[in-house]
Order: sequence, then C-alpha cells, then structure tokens
Amino acid sequence: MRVFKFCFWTSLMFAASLANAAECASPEACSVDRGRKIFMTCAACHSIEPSGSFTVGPNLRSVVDRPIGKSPGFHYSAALQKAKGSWTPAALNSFLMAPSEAYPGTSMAFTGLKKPDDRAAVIAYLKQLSGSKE
Amino acid sequence: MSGDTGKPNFKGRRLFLGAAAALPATSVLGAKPPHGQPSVPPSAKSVLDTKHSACDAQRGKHKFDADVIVIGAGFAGVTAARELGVEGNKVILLEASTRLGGRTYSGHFAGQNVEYGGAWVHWAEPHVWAEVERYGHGVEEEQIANVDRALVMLPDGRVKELTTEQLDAYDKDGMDKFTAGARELFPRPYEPLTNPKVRELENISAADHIAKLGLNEVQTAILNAEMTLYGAGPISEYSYLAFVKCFSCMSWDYYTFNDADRRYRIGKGGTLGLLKSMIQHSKAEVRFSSAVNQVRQERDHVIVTTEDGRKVTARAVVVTVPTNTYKRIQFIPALSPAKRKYIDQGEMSNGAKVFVQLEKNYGNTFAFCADPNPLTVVQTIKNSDEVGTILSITPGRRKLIDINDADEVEKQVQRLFPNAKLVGLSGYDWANDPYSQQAWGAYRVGQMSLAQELAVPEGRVFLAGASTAGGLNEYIDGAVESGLRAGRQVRELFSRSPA
Repeated sequence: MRVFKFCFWTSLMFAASLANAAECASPEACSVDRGRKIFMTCAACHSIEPSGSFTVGPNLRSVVDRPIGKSPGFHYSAALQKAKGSWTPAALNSFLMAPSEAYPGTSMAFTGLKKPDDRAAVIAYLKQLSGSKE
Repeated sequence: MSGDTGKPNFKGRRLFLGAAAALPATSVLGAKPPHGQPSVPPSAKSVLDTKHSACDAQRGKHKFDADVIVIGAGFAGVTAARELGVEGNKVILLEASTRLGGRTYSGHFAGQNVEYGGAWVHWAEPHVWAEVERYGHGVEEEQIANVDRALVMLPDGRVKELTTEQLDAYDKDGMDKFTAGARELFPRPYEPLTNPKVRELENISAADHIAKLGLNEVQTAILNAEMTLYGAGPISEYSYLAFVKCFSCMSWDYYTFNDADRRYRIGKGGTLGLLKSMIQHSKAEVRFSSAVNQVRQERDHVIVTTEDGRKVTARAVVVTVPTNTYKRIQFIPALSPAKRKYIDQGEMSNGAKVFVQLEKNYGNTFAFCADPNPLTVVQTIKNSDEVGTILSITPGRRKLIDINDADEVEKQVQRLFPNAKLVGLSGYDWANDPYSQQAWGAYRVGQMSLAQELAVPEGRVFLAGASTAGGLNEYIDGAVESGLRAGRQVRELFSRSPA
C-alpha cells in the first residue's frame, strides 16, 4: 500500500460520495478511486500512457511536481509556455478549479471542477499515477 | 515563409498525407510519438519529402505564402481545403486548437467509440453522405432502433414511462402537427427564402408554435425536449421555422428525420477518421495552435495574422470559425453590416455532451427530458450485464447543469433511473471551449433570413461553416455544404483574376 503525503485538502476527501467508503481500504484509497472516475472526463484529451504519448492535451502520467508548460514535445499555449513553477498539488488545485482564470489564454477547453473534493480526488489519483509503473 | 521563425516547434511544419503532422497533430491523427518524435513510416516519408520540395518550388512561383488560407479545421474548413487543394492550389489551413474536428470530436469512453460533438449522419444528408461514400467510411449503427424502454420527463419533473410504440405514436403525431405545411413553406429547403411567407413567420418561436397545437402534456413535453435540443437554448428564443427547415431537408419525412437525428455514426474512425481521409486527399498544410486574430484584405491578396503575431498571405481566405467566435477576429475592412448584425446577435447554441456509465444494466432506454430538466435527450449506447449501462446525454441547455460535476450528473440521472450508481462520466462543454463558444448553430427568432447574408463573399474573404449553409445549418452536412460552396466561390474568383 502506497503511503500518500497529503496537504491541506486531506480533510475534504471524506466527502467523497462516488466511491462507497465501505469498499475502500482507507480514505486515501477512496479518493484515488473517485479521482479515477472523475479523470474519465480528462481522458478525453489527456493520455496517461507510460510511454509519454499525448493526444489533444499533454500526457499527465507524471504531471505532479513537473515544471508547468514544459512536457517534452507538447506545444503549449503562450500562457502555459511562459508559466513559472511546477505543478504542485496546490498549483493543480487552482488550475483545475478554473483553468482559464488560473492561466488566461490556455487552450484547455475545460470549465473546471467546482468541488474541492473532486479536485482533491483527481490530484490524489494523478499523484498515485506519478509514482506508478503500470 | 512569413510564418516561420525557425524555432523547432511544430507550427511551421506541414501535414502531408497524415504522416508528417505537427506533433500534437500526429497523435490526433492516430500515431503515438514517444516524447516528441513524430513517427513517419518510411513509405510516407518519401512522399513527404517529394511534397515538401514540390511545394517549396510552387511557393517560389508566387508572391504569397499560399493560394488560399482556410481558417478552422472542422468539416467546413477541411472540405474547402480539399476542394481547393485537389485542384492544385496551395492551401494553408490554420487551426486554433491542437486537433482536427472543430465541433466534432471522436473519442473513446468506457470501451466505446463515441463522438463528443457532431455525431450522426444519414444518406438523406447529401453533402456529408457523399464524403462518407467517397472515402469509403460507411456507418456504425447505434442501438436506438431496438429501444425497449421509453421515458418522458415532464417540465415539473414527473417521469412517464411509455411503451416504445406509444413514444413513436406520440412523437410522430406531435412532429406532424409541428411541421404541418413544411412542403409549402420550404418547397426548396436549400433555398429557404423561396416562399416569401418564411420571412413573415420566422419571428414565431418554437414555444409559441407548440402552444397552438393542442397536444397532450406528454406530447408537449416531447416536443419541448426536441426543440430544446435543436435550439440549444430556451425554446421561447428558438425560431420554429429553423427546425421546420431542417425537417424539410429530410424530404419532409418524419422517419427519415428521426433516423438522421441519432442512428448512424460515421464508420472507420468516426468524424475524425473521415476528416483525416479528406485532409490527406487535400494535400493542404495544416498548422495547429494557430488562432487567428486579424484578417486584412488588400487589393490582390489577404493577410491573416495569428495571435502569436505571425502573418500568412494568400490570394483568398475562407473563414469557417463558429459564429460566436467571430468577435475574436478583426476584419479590415469590416464585414458587411448584415453579417456584423448576425454575428453581434450571436447564436443561442448552448448545448453540451456527456457520456455516463452506470453500474447496472437498465435496458436499452431512450428518454426525453423537457426544459427546465437539464438532460434533454438521453440515449443508451450500450447496455449489458458486464458494462452496465452507457448513456449518451445531450443537454440542450448546459447552463442548467455542470457536466463536470459527477454528483450533479448522477443526481439528474437518478431521476430517470432511481438509485443508479455512476461508475464514470466524460463530457465536452462546447459553450466553454474558447474556440467554439457554442455547440451546433441554431437560429434565434428572426435570424434565418439574416443568416443567408453570411454566404455572400466580401472580395477575397469567404465565409463558410454550418451556420452559413442554405440547408442543414445545425448539422455536419451544413458544414460540408458550406465548404463546397466556399470552394466554388474561390474557384470563381481565381478564374476571374488569375495569379
């Protein structure tokens, strides 16, 4: 069982309702499970193949803590190319809430996940993916 | 080329025969390049090299970067590019996003081929069907012909379960009454203003028209949902004749109209597969991530500027962007007052698409949900004990629901399928895509006659896109029709004033 290091949103995970708490080994596992389901929307444009392949958006296999707008080979909007910093969980959280507000000019056509626990779940899932070989 | 900076990004590269696409394009087109290396099969590479040198030579002959610039790589733009490209014109296709498709978008959900945007085609749609035939794509059939459960949600939220025979009978009767007189109103539906009465009646809304038909509450709810779908907005704003015109294009026939509406998807890769076939044939150069912000017309050429400041020149430009995105582009000189008026009004189209997977098998269900219930039209695309139930949901008014909120979508789905548990969802919010800002184009009351002005050329600037079509303006077919027409108009310009 992977050990997760969670930050400020840990408490929000208990709100997860898509995943039945009784079926999960822990709140963290519940959140990852829920994140996997929510990620189906993201998967319309984002690959998580270990090869690093991408489709419409950049590959998100190892997005957590990756420099923003720098995934090899992917052509970003000017807004993301110029961005500084890394995709920390906090940066991902604010981006996923409203992508076009976090980075005006982004070509990511996604309205955002309005619920904090939805964002926390997706980030938990991405974090697990980042450390996974499968 | 004025668009090149020499930087090793993909913007200046070419897309020939689908093999040497810019990187995101390559993966959109099906290949999977590992970390930035485009995978070019050896056979295609030699073709590519030949084309490169042929085009470089051709460009040297002309004063401009291209013969034609096409803006927008949806069905309208790709059709126009193909029309002009196969005749030997050098065509540069500028696309704001990183993919072909425009408001069509082929993808996968829960193991199924799905279309996140424009999806269904039919042989009664002459333009897109000709393309399906020409490139040998065929169709894949939805399971709608074998529906075993029919549900209608009334405006107050009550759900009526009908037999499928009842649904057909109610729907047909309501639709017959709604479209009464269609043959006389639209004797030539591709020239919608043939009957002068159309101008008189185009201010009547779908809501007002339904109210006059004397239907029962279930029939009224069905028509309400149909019009919310087609109008992609409140039916009090949707022109009733906008719908009747589309109906008339289907030979004024209820069954043909219904089949065209939601039964057949394009085969062999869906809408994207067909677009790939067309773009390969076109020999056009496709530049992705190239959003245009200015179109300037000079005496013998046009200058198109992208948001990153690059300029591309050509003898003509075909603009195929969705109506609601025209405000992103400055036209010099300005477009005609009639065009500006239509663009300023904008289209009401506020539709979206969301696919959901439910844990259990709820049968092959079809449901109409009358406004203000947000799901509008719900269609089962797969159901079995293994996968549960996969629904294709087309909300006509996405403002009424956050399609990215799984809890909210699950709650709405549970009104049709009590206690249903959502396994996953995936949607596309067209109205919030900065490069579409709308779903299918729907005429507001009073807009149909104004829209006919869109197809009138302005010197070297030609407008295409489904909203400029004479016929099926809300369909993929209208996009293809408009691309063919714009191709013809550019051809006529070039024969009047050769390079």
